[in-house]
Amino acid sequence: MRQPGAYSKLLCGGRTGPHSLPLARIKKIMKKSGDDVKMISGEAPIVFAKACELFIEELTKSAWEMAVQGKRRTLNKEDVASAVIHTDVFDFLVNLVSGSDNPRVEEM
Amino acid sequence: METETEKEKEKEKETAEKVLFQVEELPKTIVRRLVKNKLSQLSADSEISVLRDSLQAFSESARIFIHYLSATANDICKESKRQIISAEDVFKALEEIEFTEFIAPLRASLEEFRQKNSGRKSASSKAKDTNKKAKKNEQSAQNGDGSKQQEDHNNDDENNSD
Repeated sequence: MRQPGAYSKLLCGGRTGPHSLPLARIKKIMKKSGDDVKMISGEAPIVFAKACELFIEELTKSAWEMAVQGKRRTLNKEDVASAVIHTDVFDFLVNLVSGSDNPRVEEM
Repeated sequence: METETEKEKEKEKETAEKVLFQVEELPKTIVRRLVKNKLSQLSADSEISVLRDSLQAFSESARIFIHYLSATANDICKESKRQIISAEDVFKALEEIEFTEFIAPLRASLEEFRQKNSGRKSASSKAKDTNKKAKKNEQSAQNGDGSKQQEDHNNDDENNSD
């Protein structure tokens, strides 16, 4: 079995802490979201990390529902895509699932 | 010869993209754990497997979510003419992008973290912190009445004039 290593603190705490996703990486992604994103408070990445967890869980749930509808026990990419298309709050992901070749397709 | 350069170019592009993705992507192990845990919650009796492609999709989606949420939080921060994106900005951003149901659990999580953090700090520098805390408590107690704060300012002025 692989040793937990860098993420060991995730496993020893039972329920994971509020910042299980690496804060440094989250900060990097945040800074790339806009040219003028310069300063981020110490707490913001922590909220982001948890928000990300919740988001992934929501998306998982929706994708699972798609798989169940298709009477399958394997989640595939199409389930994720269907989940995005069928859920209003995931609208911002529509470009991602419609095809990475056209990231800025505008739908009228 | 042309095919060789083409191949080289493609390889370079691939490595460049990989490097970019390595920097920007969330760790696959964590994404996988989150997805699997949720699935075992949802389907306690039968195990659901996840194709690697779909894990990639989850990871990408999460990355874009962070982008989107940051951009929104950044806008909110700019509107209030501040420089630093605070946790409050993030909460307002969540409202704006219609993820309101996340706000309550996130606030709770943040409180937990704040409490843990303040516990750690006092362990390392007890005296300094008790002084700070005392001052803070006094200030918050006299929040409505700003006279205490004015007193502090006066003291500062006196020091400067010397």
